[in-house]
Amino acid sequence: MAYSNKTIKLNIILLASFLSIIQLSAASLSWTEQIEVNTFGKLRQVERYQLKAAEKFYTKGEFAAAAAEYEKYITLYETSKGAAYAQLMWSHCQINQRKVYTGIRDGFQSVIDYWPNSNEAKLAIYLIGKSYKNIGELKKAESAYSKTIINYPNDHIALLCKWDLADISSIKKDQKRLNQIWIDIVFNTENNKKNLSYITKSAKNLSKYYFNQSEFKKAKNVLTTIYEGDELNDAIYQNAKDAVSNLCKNKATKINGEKLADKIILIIMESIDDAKIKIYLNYSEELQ
Amino acid sequence: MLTNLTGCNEVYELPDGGGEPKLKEKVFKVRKVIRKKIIINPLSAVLFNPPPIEEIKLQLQELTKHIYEVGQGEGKNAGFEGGTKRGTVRFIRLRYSGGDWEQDLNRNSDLNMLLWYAANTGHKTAKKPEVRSISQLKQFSSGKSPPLVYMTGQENIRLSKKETEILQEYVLDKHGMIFADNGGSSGWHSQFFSLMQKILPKVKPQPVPLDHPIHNGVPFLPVVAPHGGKVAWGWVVDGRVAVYYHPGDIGDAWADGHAGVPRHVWESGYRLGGNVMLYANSEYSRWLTAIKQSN
Repeated sequence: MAYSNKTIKLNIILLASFLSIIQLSAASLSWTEQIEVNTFGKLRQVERYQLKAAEKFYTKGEFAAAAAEYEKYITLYETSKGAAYAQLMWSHCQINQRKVYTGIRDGFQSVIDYWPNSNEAKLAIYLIGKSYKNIGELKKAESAYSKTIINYPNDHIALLCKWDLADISSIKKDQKRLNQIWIDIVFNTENNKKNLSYITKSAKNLSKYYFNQSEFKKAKNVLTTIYEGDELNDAIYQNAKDAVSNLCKNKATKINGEKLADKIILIIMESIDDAKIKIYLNYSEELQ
Repeated sequence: MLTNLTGCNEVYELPDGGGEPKLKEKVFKVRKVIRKKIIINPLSAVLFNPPPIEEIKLQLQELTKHIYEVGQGEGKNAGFEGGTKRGTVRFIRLRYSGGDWEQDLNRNSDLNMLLWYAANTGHKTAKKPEVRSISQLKQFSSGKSPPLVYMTGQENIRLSKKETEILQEYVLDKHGMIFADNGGSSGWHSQFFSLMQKILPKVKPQPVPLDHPIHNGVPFLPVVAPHGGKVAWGWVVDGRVAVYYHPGDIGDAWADGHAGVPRHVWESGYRLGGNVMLYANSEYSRWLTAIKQSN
């Protein structure tokens, strides 16, 4: 009995350490480099072994060796459910070896052509845009991102593409297009856990722009999509304070800056109830 | 002399022709040609030594012969569709104030590169490399300006606002390309990057991929002596590399004596230099052709 208890404990420890190793290995890969759990579950033992062998080289940074292992997987198990993933990872290996064009042309594009309905195809089309953006080919990047948005309009990946498109517009200093993208993200994107941080950042950026243009109503409208109550007032203050100081620096815009400051003060005063104001006034009198 | 005077207009024209914008290795196909001989009757009354029944002759057919024309477009002979009969490929180094822009010039760095380019592309080239100040770049009109200028050094880069504007005009409006080579200091690296921030404020520098058309088959970057990192950087404007920054003194590899680096390194240095020149010329020719067609 004692022996069996020991073996159970040992098995649990071994299992825990095995699981932690798996987690560590997965953690070292970014979300575009990870295989879907469902797909991995459907793979045969030999296929998993081959993927693990390739991944070992990949996580070590030996990308040429990893590419060879992924290529072996594609040759041996072309019809397997993991083949699209292997092709995707082969492309990652090329990109990491700074062979970006090869990675796009022979890698990501092949994933789209041969496994168009796979999750990897969705990632591949997004990664084509990202790779082009990283080497400065902004037009091609924009085209790839637009395709992704058209093909997967309600997916989180569409939001990521819009976010990158906003970045491209800011590189090009195209404020009009940048605003359009921010408006699209703030008002037309489903507000869920995954998207929230991007929507919040876009709302903040857009409101800052509107505050700098002295368009208080528009800015407040944007922030209302994310915040309410006290949080909204705080957000108005946080995002407008820089605009106030910017506007007040310039003689021509100083009046606008002061008007904006007045509006913010009014909102803050309205939000504070009378009891709090009395406490504040008493406190300031005491100080004096 | 005349060209150095301000106010004189200068003309730069590419040689006409066509070809593919890549340097290629020659490919031969070896074919065994078996010549059959007539067998003479050995019992014949006439006596003579019979020749061997078969004679094998190797026939070398150059597969790349018809396409081994380096350039751009569909013209005859190696050259560029946007070029002219009088045009030649020239190598122009930029003179700027503040630093040692003339680095390796006395050790025939530019001349060696130009000679290598001429030998490996078959293009008509100028006899000697040239030096132009930044303000002299303004004398070239749009469409007749150099597709590529080379800039190197290891000290300071001090450009006036006007010179910065001239370079900006050269890169953006005249479709020119700057080939920058860090001659030996990390200071030059940061100064060049901040200069680019002024010239191309809307463009972010990006590492140039190894399989970019500008490298075209060079298996590695011949970083002779890395002074500002080991990665070549590019500033991409409308899909073309408008500025190429080499981090490690490629001019040293081109110069006489090749700075003592191994043969494969300096050979790669020439190849990379040739590729950059060819890329710049091809892009320029493509641009000229597009303008002609739109007119």
